[in-house]
Amino acid sequence: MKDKKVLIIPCSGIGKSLGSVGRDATYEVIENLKPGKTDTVCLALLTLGDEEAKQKVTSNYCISLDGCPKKCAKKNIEALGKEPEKSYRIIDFFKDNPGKKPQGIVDIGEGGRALSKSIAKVISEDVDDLLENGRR
Amino acid sequence: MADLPKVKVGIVSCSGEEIPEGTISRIATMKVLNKLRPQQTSTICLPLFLAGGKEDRDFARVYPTITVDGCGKLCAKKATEKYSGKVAASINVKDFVKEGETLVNRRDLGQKELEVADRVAQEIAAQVDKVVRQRSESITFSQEEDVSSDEVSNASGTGCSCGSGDVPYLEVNVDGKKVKFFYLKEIFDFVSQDGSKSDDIAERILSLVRTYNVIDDGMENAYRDAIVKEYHAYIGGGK
Repeated sequence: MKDKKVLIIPCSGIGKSLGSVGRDATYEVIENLKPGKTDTVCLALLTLGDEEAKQKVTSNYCISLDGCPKKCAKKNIEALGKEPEKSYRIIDFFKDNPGKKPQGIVDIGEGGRALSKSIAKVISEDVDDLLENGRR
Repeated sequence: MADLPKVKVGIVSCSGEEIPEGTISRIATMKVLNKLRPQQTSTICLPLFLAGGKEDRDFARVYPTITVDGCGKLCAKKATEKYSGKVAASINVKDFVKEGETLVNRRDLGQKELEVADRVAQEIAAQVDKVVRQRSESITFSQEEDVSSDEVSNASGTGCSCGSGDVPYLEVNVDGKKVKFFYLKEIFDFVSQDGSKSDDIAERILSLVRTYNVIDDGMENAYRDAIVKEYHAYIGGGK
């Protein structure tokens, strides 16, 4: 199982700032905190049922990050017959960190970046746990 | 005189997480929604077509839609057409990258990526203007609306139409099937007051219906007959 990676899949919701925060947290993990151990996949490709994207999702661990209650990232993964190993809603992190308020969709601002870093830290711990212990 | 709503255009961005062009498509789309054409545009999250309900999937039936894709896989275009409806125009960010331009930043866009995003945004805005012009040909609005800076400001960040079911509609029986027509009551009110001659009414109504709705291929005559029948029932019975 050593060659498995953890895919972080954000919804990237374009109409809500929490969608942008999820996207930013994803890049924080895959580019800065856990490069080489993590990756992402275009959610639109999954929506379309792209074979290569489906293969990537079904052969790796997945963590979904959703910006609104419609849970598009989680549902699009589930549509492939796979339950993500972890699923998060950005709003839950925001409720725990009300001072870290995103500013907008294009620029999430200082508050949004702080929230993104908090989320990325939690996901990094999940990445270590999944790669070490597998799905529990 | 009854008013008809201004034609709005839906923009669907791929937001591709794996490549800089995905972020560019997203930023260009937001620029059009917030700054360039805030009054004429709306958007929806692409993955919502699969995860959402019937009302979300009606998006491309409610709005003439422009898709913005980051690569040749054209996910936004294909997914919109698979789950929602035919698109009015399709834009690929790759077509706006000049020879020799290398894009590397997908998180925080650098100068090069922002320049490409600007070019894409200008093209989206041009396509929006084209679609609005085409769709509005059959309507002469009673007065031009001035857009205040407050309205532009308020539009920022509110261009999302997930749950586009808040657009008013009437259901009409067409060949035994119930079909949803957006703004149909408003069209009936408009036509009943604009002085159209009775022998022009069918074409007049169909033309306006086409402005706000997709008419499926081969269904024009059936739609016309059903809608005109509904119109006469409406003005006769005050439905």
